[in-house]
Amino acid sequence: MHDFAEPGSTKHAQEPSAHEHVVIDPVTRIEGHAKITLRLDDAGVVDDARFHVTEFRGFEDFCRGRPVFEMPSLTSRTCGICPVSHLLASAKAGDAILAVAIPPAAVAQRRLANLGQIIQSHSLSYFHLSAPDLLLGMDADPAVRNLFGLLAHAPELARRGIRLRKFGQEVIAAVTGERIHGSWIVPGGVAKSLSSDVCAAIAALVPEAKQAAADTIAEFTELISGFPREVETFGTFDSLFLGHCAADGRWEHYGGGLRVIDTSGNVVVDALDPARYREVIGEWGNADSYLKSPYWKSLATQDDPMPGMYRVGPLARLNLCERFGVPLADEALAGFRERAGGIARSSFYYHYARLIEVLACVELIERVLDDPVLVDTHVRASAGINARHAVGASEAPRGTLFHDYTVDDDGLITAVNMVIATGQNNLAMNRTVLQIAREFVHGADITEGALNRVEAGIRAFDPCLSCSTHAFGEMPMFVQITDSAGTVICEARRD
Amino acid sequence: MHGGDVLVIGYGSELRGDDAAGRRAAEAVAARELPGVSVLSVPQLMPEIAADLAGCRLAIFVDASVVDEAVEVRPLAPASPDWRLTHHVAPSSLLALAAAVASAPANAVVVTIPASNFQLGTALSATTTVAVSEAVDRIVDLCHGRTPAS
Repeated sequence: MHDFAEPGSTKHAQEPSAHEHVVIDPVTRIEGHAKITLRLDDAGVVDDARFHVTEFRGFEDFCRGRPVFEMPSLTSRTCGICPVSHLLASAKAGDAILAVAIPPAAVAQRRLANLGQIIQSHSLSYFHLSAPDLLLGMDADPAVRNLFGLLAHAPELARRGIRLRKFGQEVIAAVTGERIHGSWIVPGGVAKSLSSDVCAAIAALVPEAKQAAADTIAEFTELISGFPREVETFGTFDSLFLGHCAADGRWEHYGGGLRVIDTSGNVVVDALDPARYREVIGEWGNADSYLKSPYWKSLATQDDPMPGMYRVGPLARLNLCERFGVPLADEALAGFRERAGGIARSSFYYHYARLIEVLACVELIERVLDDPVLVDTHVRASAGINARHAVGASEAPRGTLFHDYTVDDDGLITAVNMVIATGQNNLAMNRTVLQIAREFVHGADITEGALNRVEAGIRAFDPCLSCSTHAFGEMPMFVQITDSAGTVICEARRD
Repeated sequence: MHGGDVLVIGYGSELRGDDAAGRRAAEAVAARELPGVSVLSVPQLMPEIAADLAGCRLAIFVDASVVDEAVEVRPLAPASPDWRLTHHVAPSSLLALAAAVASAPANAVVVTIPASNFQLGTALSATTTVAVSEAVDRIVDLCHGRTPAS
């Protein structure tokens, strides 16, 4: 056994038996709490892997009885990273319950805030959580494989990450009044108009952000050449890809319909109203995890959702759109497709897709700021309860987000279903862990590098368990190796 | 978007009773519109605040404390970070980050406000309400240079 514990961690080992399991617990540098179980066969080869989420939030239960007008503020507390996503999906469901078309200025403000959020969330994921693996190496000393280690090794990149995340947060704060948990978005629109001064202040920050995003993509395209084995084994498989797409094929994050493609690029479904998600998506409950596993109904079997696996988030959005409609990001998208050979199958490319989306979002922010409708003072439509059931959907940084509400005649919530991006990637994350473990884990003697690769495979998806289990705090990791009879023969823990 | 000589950062949850003490104090300082003083009121400290700290002469962190029985002002220095750094960092780690990003403030202090009630709710306890007023006076003194740390 190698000592692969990071500071503050503990590890327990038992004598190996004929059939073994490896458990990684807690999984680090992700949002929430989880563990990974690896089951070994009689020959010590990994034959199954499971990603377990061990925390529970319960929003779908305790929101019942609350007024629909409270739902954006309530559900945005699901997450400190992507509160804007929940604000948007919730408010869109509220819009539909009021049966109103919200003012164009409100749409523009909502778009602006979501673009800012995608930038700040993707910057956190890449620069703070994953860049240490990529720049310092998967086998680097875990004590330095973090943002501070990155500052020592690549200070300019680390500074850029901090500045880009700050830019995204500034956009959100300018629009919503708060960097986190702003309460400005409401059913029917937004609560206040935006001033020209605020728009000018954001616009002044755009050139630096655009350059930072472009420089990071240029560096990443060099960096990725050093990870051929990871590209090949970090979740490289066929699956469907799902996300919003504009009617003309442009990348979309707020409106449009759902598009689903397969790994050959064939369009399975297009322009699907997100309100009809239940017709195509089922939700599989797992006995060993609080994270649900949504699946594509027409491909799953009665006993197995895995054939219905689909991926959402930046990789899916880049695969299924035709273009961004902004010049620098479209150039980067062409480079992405050339490197991936068309549709990107490897989940390692989530990082690449994330960086391109950051650039696209900066360019799109510039475009939104140029639209005079943004500062129009009519920002909210008023109405009573005109529908008893509605679905709101938008693209969160990690993928498509659905809020499904049923209300009574007074607008009090009687049922809630939240389908979260991380959950929709759950089947793919499990497949990814299995693929990486089979490549890098051999018997119960798991090395630090192998452990980190298993974690990094999860991090590629940038899961947010706080969102998806309705969790709290950072995400520790617990890894267990068991034999085929379920006996734990090795554990590693990071708290 | 700050640009002040002094940066006051109050942090805590607004929904956990006395945990909001730092934010309430910071917001009261902001209301005084002191020249050269910028204020942030945030739920928690995040890495990008390092960029706000760069270029400041003085950073004043304001937080609730379950340990202190009176308002305390203590000097802060850059310190080793929490390796798990994600979206919450300690003030001393933020100073270290600021030093790495550009430059750390020449001086930094943490003002702690005694707190006892962290139950759900937006109201401060009576003791903490009084302590917030005292903390505001101490922070204003610090902003005016009347500080042993400057």
